[in-house]
Amino acid sequence: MLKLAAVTGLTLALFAVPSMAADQPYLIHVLVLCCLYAIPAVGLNLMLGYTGLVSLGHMGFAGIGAYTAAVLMVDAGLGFWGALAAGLIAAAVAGAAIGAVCLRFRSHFFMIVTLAFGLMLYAVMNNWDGITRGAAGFPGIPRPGPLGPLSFGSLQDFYYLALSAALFAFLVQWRVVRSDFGRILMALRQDERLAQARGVNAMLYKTGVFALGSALAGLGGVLHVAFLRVAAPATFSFAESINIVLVVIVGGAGALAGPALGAVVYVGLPEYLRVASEWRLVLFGVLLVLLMRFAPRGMAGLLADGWQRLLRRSP
Amino acid sequence: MSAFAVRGLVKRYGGVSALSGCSLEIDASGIYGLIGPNGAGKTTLFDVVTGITQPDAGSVTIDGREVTGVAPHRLARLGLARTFQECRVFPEFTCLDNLMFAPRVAGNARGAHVEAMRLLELVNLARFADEPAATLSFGQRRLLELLGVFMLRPRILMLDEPAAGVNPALLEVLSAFIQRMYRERPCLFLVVEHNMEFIISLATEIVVMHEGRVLERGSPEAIQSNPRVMEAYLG
Repeated sequence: MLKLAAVTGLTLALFAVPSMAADQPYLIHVLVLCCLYAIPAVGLNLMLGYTGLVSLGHMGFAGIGAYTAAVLMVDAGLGFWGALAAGLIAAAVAGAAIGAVCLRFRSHFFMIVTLAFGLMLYAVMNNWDGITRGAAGFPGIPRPGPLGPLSFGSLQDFYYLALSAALFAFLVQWRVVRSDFGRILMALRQDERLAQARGVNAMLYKTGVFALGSALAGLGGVLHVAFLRVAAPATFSFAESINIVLVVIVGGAGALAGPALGAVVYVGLPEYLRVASEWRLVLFGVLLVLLMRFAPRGMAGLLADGWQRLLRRSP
Repeated sequence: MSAFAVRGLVKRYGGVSALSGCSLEIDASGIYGLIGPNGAGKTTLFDVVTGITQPDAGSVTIDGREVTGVAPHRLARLGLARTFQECRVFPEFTCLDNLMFAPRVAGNARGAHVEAMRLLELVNLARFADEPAATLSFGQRRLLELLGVFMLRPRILMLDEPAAGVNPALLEVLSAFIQRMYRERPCLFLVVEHNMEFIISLATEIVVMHEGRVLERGSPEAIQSNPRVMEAYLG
């Protein structure tokens, strides 16, 4: 009950930010970026945090969604919403197909194969000039068209869209984690052979979560390029795939709020401290070492422990 | 048609034959103790039957249906349930959730809750129902794993050294529980066990393996005085 109130309050506060900070476009810009990182992080959290599948090529699937939508919008003249749906489906199908291959391998072999597929997808985006416009990036991606009375042209309005999409991603995560499907995913992380002996078709469920995680990556990818108005391979590079793993782990793998906390720390904090790109990785490296040493459950684990201590102190 | 049958199973690892034409047919329900000296092929037989290992030759049938090399999750749905020698439970799930897992997977969780609590009470674990399985002692985890198997409502149970590492007090609980479950719903139990005292008192029939084959089978009393069995054990 208390948790529900806290989540509702936080959501309302986030929706109220533009009206309270209308003169601070930079803040809103950073918050949009937080949402855009949190969405694929939710997908990866389902795979890595709940199922124990450490994919090192996650942003490659965001790229599949993004470039599918970009080609459909710019070259085929499809509207944003149709292209968004197509991008999601493309990422999910690619996730299922590539996942079915990667999941033949286990633990570190699985990681290496996902890494290889991530690099391959990047190479395609970077070099298939005819379709993806290559390394120069894919320019001219339109901002989302209006949906009924809502329009998304301005930064503020795009913020509402990104926030809604992030909330949607978290809602999906919450529903999955609470379901029997989620329970099976968690069982697979704890003991795959036991789960199989109890009747779980491990391959089917792991492929399913790979597809779902990739679809969420695709959602983030499409919104990302619609926000920047250009699709660049660098947005979906190997380095970004590693970053999204860091976002999940720093936020707290296997915690519902993990991706949000990770995205805020990863994107928001350095931007806000104005040390941005040069120091971000240094800061993050130190933070990661400290977290792994003192709080292996990430920011979410830290917060949960603090909350428990607070409850115990006030009887 | 046998409830459970393996015919001519062969499994080689390099030059070593773990199974060399192993055949065993079991027609009626009962608690069958599978014993044999180290290297007799018990574990390999277990792994082949439970779909972990593919045999080089031979077949496994359940109720006349060929299941050789069928994946473990499909065997579970066909009514073959197993425990693991190394004892496996889901450590983060509560004891109750450990038991509810199989019914949830099968999509019939409704009503399973009552049965889960009943089983927990039978082995005095009800007070741990909402505790994570990781907090249990090793012996208690063995019991929990065994309860989980019964939640599958199996027709064939394969227990891989259920007594290993369990202290004498819990061993009695374990033995009484297995016997009680057998009386409630007589089905086919196949128990690999090294603890001779435990298996002799539990089993209705003993199957002795030696050098990758079934050497003898018979009542516990007959097996204990069988000269061929003595020879196999003493070499």
